[in-house]
Parts: sequence; C-alpha cells; structure tokens
Amino acid sequence: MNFRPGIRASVIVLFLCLYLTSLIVINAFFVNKQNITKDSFKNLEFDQQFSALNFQTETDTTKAMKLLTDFNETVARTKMIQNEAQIYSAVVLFILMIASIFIFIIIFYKITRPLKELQLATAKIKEGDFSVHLPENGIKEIKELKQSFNSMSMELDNIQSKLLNAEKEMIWKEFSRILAHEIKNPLTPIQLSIQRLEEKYETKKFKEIFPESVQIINQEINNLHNLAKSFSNFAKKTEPEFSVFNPFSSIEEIIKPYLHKYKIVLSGNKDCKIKFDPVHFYQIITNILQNAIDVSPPDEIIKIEIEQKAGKIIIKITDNGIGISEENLKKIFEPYFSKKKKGIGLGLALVMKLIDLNLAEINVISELKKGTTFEIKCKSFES
Amino acid sequence: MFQSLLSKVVSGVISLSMMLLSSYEGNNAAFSELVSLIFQKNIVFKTQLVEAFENDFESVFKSGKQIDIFFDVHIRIQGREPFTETFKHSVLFDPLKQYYSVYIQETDEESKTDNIVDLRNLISKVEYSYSGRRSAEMIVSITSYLPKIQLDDSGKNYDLMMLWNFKKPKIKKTVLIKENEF
Repeated sequence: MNFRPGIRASVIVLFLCLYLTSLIVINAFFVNKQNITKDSFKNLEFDQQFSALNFQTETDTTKAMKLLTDFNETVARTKMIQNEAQIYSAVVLFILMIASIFIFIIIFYKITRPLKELQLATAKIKEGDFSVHLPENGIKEIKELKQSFNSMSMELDNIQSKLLNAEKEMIWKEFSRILAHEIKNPLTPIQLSIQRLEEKYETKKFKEIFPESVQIINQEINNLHNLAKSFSNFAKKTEPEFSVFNPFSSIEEIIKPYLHKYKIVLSGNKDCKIKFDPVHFYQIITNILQNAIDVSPPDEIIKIEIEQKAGKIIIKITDNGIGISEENLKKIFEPYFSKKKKGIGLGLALVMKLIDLNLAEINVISELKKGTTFEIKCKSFES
Repeated sequence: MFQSLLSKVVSGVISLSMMLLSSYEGNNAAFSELVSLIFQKNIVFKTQLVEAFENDFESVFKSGKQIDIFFDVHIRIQGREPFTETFKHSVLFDPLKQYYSVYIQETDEESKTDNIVDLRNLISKVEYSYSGRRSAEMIVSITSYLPKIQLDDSGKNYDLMMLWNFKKPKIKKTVLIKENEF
C-alpha cells in the first residue's frame, strides 16, 4: 500500500518536529551554560580561605595573589557566560523564529499554489477550454483533487466534442434541407417553362409564350443568383471600415427609392454623427426596413426615428405589422430562422453579425398584431 | 569582501535578536568626532571611544588577564595604496595592589591608576601621530575591536566583542589640510 501523508498530518508532524527540536536545542544550550556557571562558582570557595590568610610571608602573598586572581577570573567568567547565554539564546530564538516562519511560508505555498492552479484551471473550463490538464503532484489530498479535476475536464472535453459533432451534423442537415428547398423553388418554374417551350416549339403559340417563359426563367435565375449572394454575404468575414457620418442623411438616402411606393417617415436628430462602416449601416437599415415593409399592411406608415441619449445614438424602426411572438422573438437573429414565405432566414442573422462587428447593440420590442420596433444603439461620435 | 559581508550579516542578526528577544544591554561603543592637527610636522588624529567600557568591563579588567583594545588606522590618499597601521591599548590589573597598569602603544606611554573612571578615560583616548605621505585631502578611518581571551585553563575563548554587541566602532573622515599648515 502506497502511504502518503495528508495536509493536516504533514503540518502537524512538521510543527512538532520543528518545535520539539527548538525546545531540545534551547534546553541543551541552557543546561550546558548552567553547568559551566556551576563549575565557575566552585572557585569562589577560595574567597573564604583568602580571608583567613595574613600576608607576612612571600608564600602567603603568592597564595593570596593566586586566590585573588582565581576569584576575579571566576567573576569575569561568570559575567561573560551570563552575557553569552543572554545573547546566544536571543540569537537562537530569533533564528528559530525566522526558520519557523520560513517553513510555514513554504508549507502555505505548497498548499495554496495547487489551489491557485485549480482556480485558474476552473476559470479556463468556464471559458470553454476543456483541454486543461493539471500536473498530478503534491501532497495526497491535492494530488487526489487534481486527479478528479483532470478526469472531470477529460470527460467534459469528450462530451463537448461529441456535442460539437452532433451540432455540426445537425447544422449541415438543416443547411442542406434549406439549400435544397431554396434551389428547388426556382428550379421548378424554370423546368416547367422549358417543358412548355419544348411542347409549343413548333406550334403557333410558341411566339406568344416565348417572352413570358424567358421572363420566368430570367426571374428565377435572378432569384438563384440572389440566394447565392445572400449565403455569400452571410459567410463573408468582413472587418468594418469605420468612417464618421450623419445617420439621418444616410437613412434619408437609403429610403429614397422606397418613398414612391411606401409610406416611410423619418424624424429626429438631424445633426448627430456616428462612427460606423457605411456599407454595413446600409445593409442593416435595408434589411430591417425590408422586413418592416414585408410585414406591414399596404399604406401603413413605417416610422424611423433618430435620438441622441447619454452619448448614444438610437435609431428606431417601427412598423405596424403583425408583430412577433415572444417565442419567436428569441430566435429571429438565428441563421435560417424565418416566418416569411420568401425568406431563407439570413437577413437578421446578418444584421446581428454586422451590429457586433461595429460594436453596436440591437433590441427588438414587439407586440402581436400591433407591430415591432427595432432599436439600434451605437456610440455617438463627438468631434 | 565575503568575510566583511558575513560579519555585517552576523552583526545585523545579533542586533535584531537582542533588540527583540533579549534584555542584555552591552555597550554601544562609538567614536567621538575625529579631530586633526599639525604637531611637529606630523598630523595628529584625535578621537575618543564613548560608552565603550561602561557595562561588565570592570570585572573583565579585574580578571587579571591582559585586556587589549585594538585600533586599525587607514589613511587613503587619492590614487595611492592606503596606509594601514594597527596599535593597541592594554590593561593589566594587579589584584594585590588593586591598580590597573595601562599601556598606550601609539604614544608608547605607560601609566597606573586605581580608579576605573580614570582607566576608562585613559584607554578611550586615541592620539595617533601620522608622519607618512600627506596630501591636501586625506580620508582617515579608525576602527576599534576587542580580542578573544581565555579566562581559565579550559581553553575556552571568550569573545570580548560580545560586550560591544559584536559591533566594531568606526569613524571615517575626510581631512583637509592647508599647505601653509605644514
């Protein structure tokens, strides 16, 4: 059995080792000093003999001299030993204090560093990076925690790749279905027109039906062309080319061709300026406007208002159409979502993509049978 | 250089330990201001050790052992090798007659005193007469230290620097001498 001590056991063992060693060392030091002091004080007995002497002979004087020297030496030694004991015990205690703090910091680091690693790894997982793998080292509990974390991240990685594959397959299926449907729609009238032309080729009616059939074929080829363009536009990854312009004047230009057929009212701040890609701006406004036209009853007014509020320009496009249900409101910016008869559901998805590229925001407020308002918020440009 | 750094670290650790964990005072030995004067074409540097022999020294002096106080003099003249000399002040106690014999090496003077205050004054004063190369600008430094002594026959050495908290008092001064003073 492979035994690995846990955090608490390690800390307790280290603590006991350190402090017991410290106590033993300090105790041994003081015992040693006490013994030396005891030995030194033995010499003090000479002091009593000294008092009994009279200094009449040279021998007595020599003895007295010896006794006094010994006595004074002992006093000096005792003082020095006392001083040594005071100084060295302070130094030893200080070094032990520093060492224990140092060891504590190391242990603390050993415990907290893997926790920090785990925290960072969890943050990576949160960001969607499941490939994160922690080195399986450290003390028992930390090692086990890392092992669990690694198996969890591996499991999540597997699940994510399975989900991605499933999602990819689903997207391709959906895309193929939409594409097939959208291509089939114009192909049928083209096929019918060609069949009709073949049938009537050598008859008198041929001349009558020829222009109409050619027009249908041309129309449907145009539709196919537009379909290809829509897909291409959506797939294109274009970086915005920012320029500063007046949104009121720009919208005024955009709605000009519509004005002879539809009632579009533009109002609001005429002097504000925004920093936006003009081509993207055109695509966003035309897409939303086209949707508003498609859902509005004839002769119904479509309102476009421009406001400046708290450093932002708000462009509101409001129609009085059928409105969007709460459920559908969540999906309108998803690709291939459309409730229109003629639509592939890429218009608003493209709008959302362009809004993001230009660092703007879009909100939709809608009420069934009353209408919908698209609200575009972008930063006002102050010269 | 490494030795000097090590001694500084050791001294720092001891000072910090004493400050935090010990009630031992020792002696905060230091030099008074270094004064220079011209005497008989020599430059005499005068200074004095202060607060050097107040605590615990009396019993050490009375141990009967010869106690030496060493002084290192360094004189640096720009662009030249520094001049270095070491001299000492010695104290020897006679236990029977109860007086201290003092020898001041730099002046080659011997004296006797039975008073500890006089003794402190005698051994603290430094009067070093310099007769070597001279210059208008000289950097003079004097460092003092104490030796290790044996107080019995056990062979154990007692470091007297302990009484100075392991700090060597040092004084350094740039001395400017006018040409007409020579």
